[in-house]
Amino acid sequence: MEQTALLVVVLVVALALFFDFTNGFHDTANAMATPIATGAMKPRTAVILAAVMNLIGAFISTAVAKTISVDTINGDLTAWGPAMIFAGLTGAILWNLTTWFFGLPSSSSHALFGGLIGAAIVYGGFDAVNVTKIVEKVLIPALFAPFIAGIAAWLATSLAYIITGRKKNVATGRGKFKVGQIFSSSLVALSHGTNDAQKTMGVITLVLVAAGLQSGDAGVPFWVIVSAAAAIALGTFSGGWRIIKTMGHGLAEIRPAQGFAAEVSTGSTILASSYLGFALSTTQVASGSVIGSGLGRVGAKVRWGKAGQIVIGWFLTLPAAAGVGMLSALLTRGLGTAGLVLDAVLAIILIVVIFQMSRKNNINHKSLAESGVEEVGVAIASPKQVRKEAAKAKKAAKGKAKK
Amino acid sequence: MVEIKWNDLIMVAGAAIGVSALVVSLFAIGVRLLTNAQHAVAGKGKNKGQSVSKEIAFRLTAVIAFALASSVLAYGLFILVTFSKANPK
Repeated sequence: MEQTALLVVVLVVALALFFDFTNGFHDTANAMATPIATGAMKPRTAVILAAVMNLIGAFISTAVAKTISVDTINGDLTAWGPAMIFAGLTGAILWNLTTWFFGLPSSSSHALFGGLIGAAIVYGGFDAVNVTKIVEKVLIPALFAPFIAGIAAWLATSLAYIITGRKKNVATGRGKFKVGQIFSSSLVALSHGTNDAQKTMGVITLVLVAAGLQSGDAGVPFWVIVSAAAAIALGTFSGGWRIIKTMGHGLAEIRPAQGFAAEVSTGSTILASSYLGFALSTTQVASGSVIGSGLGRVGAKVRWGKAGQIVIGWFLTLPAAAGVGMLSALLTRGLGTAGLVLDAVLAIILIVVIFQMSRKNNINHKSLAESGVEEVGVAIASPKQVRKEAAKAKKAAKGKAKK
Repeated sequence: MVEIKWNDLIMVAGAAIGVSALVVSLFAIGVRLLTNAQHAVAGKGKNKGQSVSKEIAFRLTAVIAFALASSVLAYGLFILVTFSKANPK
C-alpha cells in the first residue's frame, strides 16, 4: 500500500476516533444530567461512572459494528473510498461541536448520518440520498421519541409522588430516590456505550475495508474495539458540561424522584426501542423524559422556550451536518489528497475556534456543583445513622418537654 | 413510499410506559415503606415490641420492592446484551 493511501487511512481513523470522543462528551448529559442536578452524585463522580459504564458497554457486543450500514444512502460507501467518509465525519464533528457550544442536546447519530449523506451527494449525486429512509429513520422517530419518553416519565413521576405523598407526621423520604438514580443513570450510560461506540467501530472498519486493508466479512479488529471504547469513555469523562447544564437545569426543575423517573423512562424507552427494532435517538428520548418528569410534579416548571430551541436543533442536525459534509467532500473530491489535508487543517482551525469561544463563557463541573450535592449522605443513611438521628430527636423532644 | 411501522411504535410506547411505571412504582413503594420503618424507629417509646415488629415488616417489604424494581432493570440489561448479540442491526 502506498504511503499517501496509508496517510489517508490514518487521518480518517483519527477523525473517526475524535468523532467518538465528541459523541461521548456530547451525550454524557443523557445519563448524568439529572443525577448531577438533584445532587445524587457529584459532577466529577457522575462523569467517571458514566465513562466506566460507556467503556463496559462498548465491549458488551460488536454486533452492530460488524454490520453497520447507512441505509439512508443509496450506494456503496466502500467504493467511494476513505476520503468520502472523512468528509462525512467532518460534518458530523463540526455540527456536534456547534450544538455543544450552544448547550443543545442533539443526536450524534443523526449528525453522523447527515455528514455522510452530504458527502455522498457530492460523490454520488442526489440519487445517493434515500429520502424515504430519512423520513422513516430520522424524521418520524424524532417526532415520536420525545412524546413516548415524555409520557412515560410524566406517568412515572406522578406515580412516584402519589405513592410517597406526605402523611401526617411522616416525612416523604423522597431524598432516597437519589440512591436509585445512581443505578438508573448507570443503566442509561451502559446502553449508550453499547450502541454509540459501535457506530465508530463500524465506520473505522468500513474505512479499512474501503482501503483494502481488511476483507468485508472479517469482523471488527480488536484494536478498533479498544480504541473506540477508550475514545467514547474519554469523551464522556471530559463531560459536556454545557449540555449537562441545559438538561439538568435548563429544561425543568428536577428533584430526586423526578430524576429517577426520567432516567428509568429513558432506559426503558431505549431498551424497548432496541428490542422491538424501532430505533430512537438516546438524546431525544432523554430530553423528552426530562420534560415529562417536569410536568409530572405539581408546581414544577418546564422551560418551553429552551425546549423549543432544542427541537429546532434536532431538525437542523441532518441538513446542517450534511451541508458541512458536502463542503468538505467538495475539497476531498476536487483536490484529492491535498484537499483532504486542507480539509483536515480547516476542520482543526474551526474546532480550535469553537473551543476558544467556549472559554469566554466557561461552564465546568465546579459551576454545576450545587449545595444539594453535599446533602447526598442524607439519602444514603444507614439504619444505624437513622437510629442515631431518632435518638437525637427524642432527646431534643424530652428536653423541650422538661422546659 | 414511506412506511411507518405503527405496530412497532405502539409496542415501544406501551412497553416503555408500562416498564417505567412499574419500576418507579416499585421503587416508590420501597421508599414509602423505608420511611415508615424510620418513623416506627422514632416512635419506639410508646409500645416498643409492636414498633420493632412493624419496623422489621416495613423494612422487609421495602427490600422486596427494591429487589423487584432492580430485577426488572436487570432483565432489561439482560435483553440489551443478549438481543444485541443475537440480532445485529
